[in-house]
Amino acid sequence: MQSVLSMALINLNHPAHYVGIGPFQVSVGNFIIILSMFVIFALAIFIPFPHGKDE
Amino acid sequence: MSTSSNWTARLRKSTLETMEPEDLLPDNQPAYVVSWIYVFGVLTIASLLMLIATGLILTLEGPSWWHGSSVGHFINSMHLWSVELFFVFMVVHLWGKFWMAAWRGKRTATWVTGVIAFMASILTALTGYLIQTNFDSQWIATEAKDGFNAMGIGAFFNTLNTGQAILLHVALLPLAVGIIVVWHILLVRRKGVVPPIDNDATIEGGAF
Repeated sequence: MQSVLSMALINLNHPAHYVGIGPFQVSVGNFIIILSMFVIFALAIFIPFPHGKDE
Repeated sequence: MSTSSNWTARLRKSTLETMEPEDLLPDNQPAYVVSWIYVFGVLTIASLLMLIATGLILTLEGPSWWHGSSVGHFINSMHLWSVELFFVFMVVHLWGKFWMAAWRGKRTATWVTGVIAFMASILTALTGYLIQTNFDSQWIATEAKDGFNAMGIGAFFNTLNTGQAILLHVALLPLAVGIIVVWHILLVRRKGVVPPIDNDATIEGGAF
């Protein structure tokens, strides 16, 4: 188990880090995923879709 | 012998009338389906298929395998990252469909089955986290126990009961999610992809 953990790109063997404002609290990992979803949504709207044959 | 009174014949006739093969497996799409936002539904399905495949392997091999072997760690990680992507894709799909008001054109059932699939998926994910058989699952089980007790359903759904969580996660809930997702896809195929809001001429155009 230890060897697997030591091979991880990011050391996850510690308590999670949290960020928050007032009563709202979220782990950094979940916060990054939520931000990623906003970014992916924006990219999906604005990046042009490659056209195939027009019909 | 007449086949009109035969229930299998009636079922076949009504199925072919409501689900034409050209609608079920189309080979082209309307011109407005040229945006990446239309890709996230099928990405969600792809993630679900990966979840089912890796989940079947985890079920067959068991906790000692996924905790104690390199291949077990790999398949376990595949299952975790598949569910992360499953929810990311599903939420982006949800946002896309919400902002284009995808329930237009008699597509209410499509929207509702999507909502139910989302909620069933959340419950499936929770039971999955409960059966990791590690300290994380113990923590989540004790925290969730308080939550479900507060809702008054702790006696029916006991997150500390690992056996119940396993049965829910590997049998009942995947079956429910699978059935709802298939129903959702059939409705999408039957009604067609919803057009943009400013393209009302094709709003009930049917499947392409």
